[in-house]
Amino acid sequence: MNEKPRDVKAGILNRGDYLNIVIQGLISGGVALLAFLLPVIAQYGTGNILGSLEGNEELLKLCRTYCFSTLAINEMLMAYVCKVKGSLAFFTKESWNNKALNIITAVGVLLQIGILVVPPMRSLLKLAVVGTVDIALILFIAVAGVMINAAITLAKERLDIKRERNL
Amino acid sequence: MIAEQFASPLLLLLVAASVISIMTGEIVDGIIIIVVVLANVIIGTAQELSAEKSVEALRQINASTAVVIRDGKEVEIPAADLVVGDYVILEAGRVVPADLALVQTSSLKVNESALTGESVAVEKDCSEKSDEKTPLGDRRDKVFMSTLVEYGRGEGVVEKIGDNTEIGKISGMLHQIEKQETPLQKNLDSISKVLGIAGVILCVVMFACQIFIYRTPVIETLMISIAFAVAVIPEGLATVVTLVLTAGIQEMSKRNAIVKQIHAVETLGAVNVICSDKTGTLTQNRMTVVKWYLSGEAVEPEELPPDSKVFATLLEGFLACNDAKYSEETGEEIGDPTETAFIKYAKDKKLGYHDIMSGITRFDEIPFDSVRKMMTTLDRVERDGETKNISYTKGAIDSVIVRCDRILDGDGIREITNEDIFHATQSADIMSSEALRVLALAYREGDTVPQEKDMIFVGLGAMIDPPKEGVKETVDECHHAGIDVAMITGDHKITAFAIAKELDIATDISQSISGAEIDEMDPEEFRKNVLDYRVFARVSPENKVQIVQAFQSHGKICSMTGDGVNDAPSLKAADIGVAMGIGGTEVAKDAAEMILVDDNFITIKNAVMEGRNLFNNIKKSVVYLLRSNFGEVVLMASAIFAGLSSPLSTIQILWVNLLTDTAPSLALMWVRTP
Repeated sequence: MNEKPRDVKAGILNRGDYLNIVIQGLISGGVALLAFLLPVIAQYGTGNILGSLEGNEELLKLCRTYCFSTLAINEMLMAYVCKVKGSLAFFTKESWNNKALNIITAVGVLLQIGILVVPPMRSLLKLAVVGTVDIALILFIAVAGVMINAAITLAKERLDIKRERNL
Repeated sequence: MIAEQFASPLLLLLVAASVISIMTGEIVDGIIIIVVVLANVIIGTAQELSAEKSVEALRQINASTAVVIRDGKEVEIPAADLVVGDYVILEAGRVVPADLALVQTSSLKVNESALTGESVAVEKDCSEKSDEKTPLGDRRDKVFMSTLVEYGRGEGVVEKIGDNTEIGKISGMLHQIEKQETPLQKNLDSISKVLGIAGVILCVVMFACQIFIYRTPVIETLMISIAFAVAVIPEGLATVVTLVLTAGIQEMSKRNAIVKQIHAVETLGAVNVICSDKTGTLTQNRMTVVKWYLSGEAVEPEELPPDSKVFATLLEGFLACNDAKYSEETGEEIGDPTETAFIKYAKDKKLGYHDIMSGITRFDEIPFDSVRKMMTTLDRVERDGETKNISYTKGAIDSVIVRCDRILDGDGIREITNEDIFHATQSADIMSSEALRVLALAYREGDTVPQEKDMIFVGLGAMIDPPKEGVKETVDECHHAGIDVAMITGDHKITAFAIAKELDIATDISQSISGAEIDEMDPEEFRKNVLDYRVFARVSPENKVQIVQAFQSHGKICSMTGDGVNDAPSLKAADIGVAMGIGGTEVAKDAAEMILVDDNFITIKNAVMEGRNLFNNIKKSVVYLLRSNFGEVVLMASAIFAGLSSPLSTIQILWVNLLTDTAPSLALMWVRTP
């Protein structure tokens, strides 16, 4: 309550918010793209990704499964980054004090894994059959996205401190 | 109304996507997109349906019947049948059916709070003359439609009916004032527009790229474009914002603030000027005796000498010469606030109100009138087994003291001196300058008819409507939070300033201005200087709108409180109109965005705090949703421009947008700021 009223002319989002949207969007998009390419690279290497996918519907389905699951899980985890500001936000106590968010995330991640193993859901969402290793890999890439975000934010914070000191 | 919802570029993009999906054989995808479109339309339409009904309520407010003289006979007719020139009879308890020029008054008191905001009934006097420039509250020779006759009797000629009445003018003002979109609405609309346009452009570029560079078949290209369009649009945004605002409304209702319009919650968080009514919101709306003057000294209740005979006579006199009553059923005092104050004092201080009153029987009286400025009752008083006729006179000190030839003080009754009169008058002046209402008391013994001469002066009682507990601290909190507080009242400037000073709203009398002074000022000059004022006294409905608009012209987000019909235009003009739940009229409640269940200023501050909290949470969710969509756009665009297939199908993108994104964004809204 002690903070001043916001400037209504300033709009709902400021420059910092837009920068966060861009950085975090790039990270989420980047890790999802990596997940999409991973099955191709695993099977055919990096030589001819385009050609490997052409006409190979099963592989495309597997790539999309990786991409879709990674993106969904990564985005759920990124909610914690939006909740608290700062590079180490994900690791602070404050980040985990929203019971509703904790439950939603836990249920969401389980549901996301669940649709990979429940046949009717898998068929509705046009997903490929995946094994435990695949699921572990998807989880790893999704969490890696959050870590990359923390590293970038940390670097940004350091730069800001340095700039302030120089001023 | 439903068609208007489809004007959104984002929805149109989704409709196009569903049509193309169905045409290309992706029936399930198409149906799911249609379901999403319908959900958005339903939510938008539901919001529109909560439209304002204030004008309708204003139409319904009228006096149902009026007693008029027609063909020399007293007849009761529907108020709607009145015509200009009708001769109307007014009695206690009747609602005034039109604007009347009074031709006869007998102790007529009218409660004009619905029109002027002044809670104390105004004494009317047909002998006084007012004109159009006289403030409404000071037009003592007129009565106005929808006000209530509280006491006495009067007769008047209908001057104005319908839209020409003062209340009719307010109705006209309500039509003129248009509500503006809230900042959040504007922001979300512009975000939607930008995303919609960006989505269409990117889709076209993507389509061209696929067709002309990668030579992808048209059907497949269409599917990729649809998926991309769906990725761009934050389908959950409108739902999430609506849900969180609804949750905010529920939270606020638990804190005694009922928010009627969903987007008002967000505006509340941006409020930086609170224009508050004085009586009942900042103050208790209960006149309380805070000072006495007796035996040549002004004393506070705590300083009264024990077993003072003078005080016993003073209190007995104020209780006897009093038309207010104490209701055993409700435990409340009923009557004029300046009279109930004495009953409340006797009850609160446990001074034996019932014992005093059981020994007093009134058998004659001279009612109050504005010329004599006093009233007298002749009572049979039983005291210590002895019965006496005592006539008590209560009124303005100037009127009472000149009719006294003796004074009662600690030594008994003696001749009154010029020095006694000077001291008493000086004390009354000091108390008046502190915004206290002062009443003098004198008495005579042994009369059989009430007389107002050669009386014994006893003393003075001074009262005020004190501030509510906690309001001063809340005003200070508002100042710390960058919120200015202004007092708007029908009271006189000095009274208003005294309370404002006590509450830290104003520090100097120069920060006070009256409605008449506003009217005399050049409107542009007033607009420029409005930030210098904190107290606006004796203001008209037009002044209130002027004040709100002047604040708004300085970029202020203004909240205005009000309870009367007269407040409706300013409530509507304000960014957040706040109506009183207990004492507010239906018109005020309908015109307002928020209703205070407890009529308390503290509730306004709490609502503003909740509004700020909600806005911060909405912002977090909007950032979260937009970054999710941007991530999808980055993914889709980079894959497609690289010549890869679409990395996600339409249905997968919808799943992410509606379930895995929307659910956490809703949870983000439940973060409470301590």
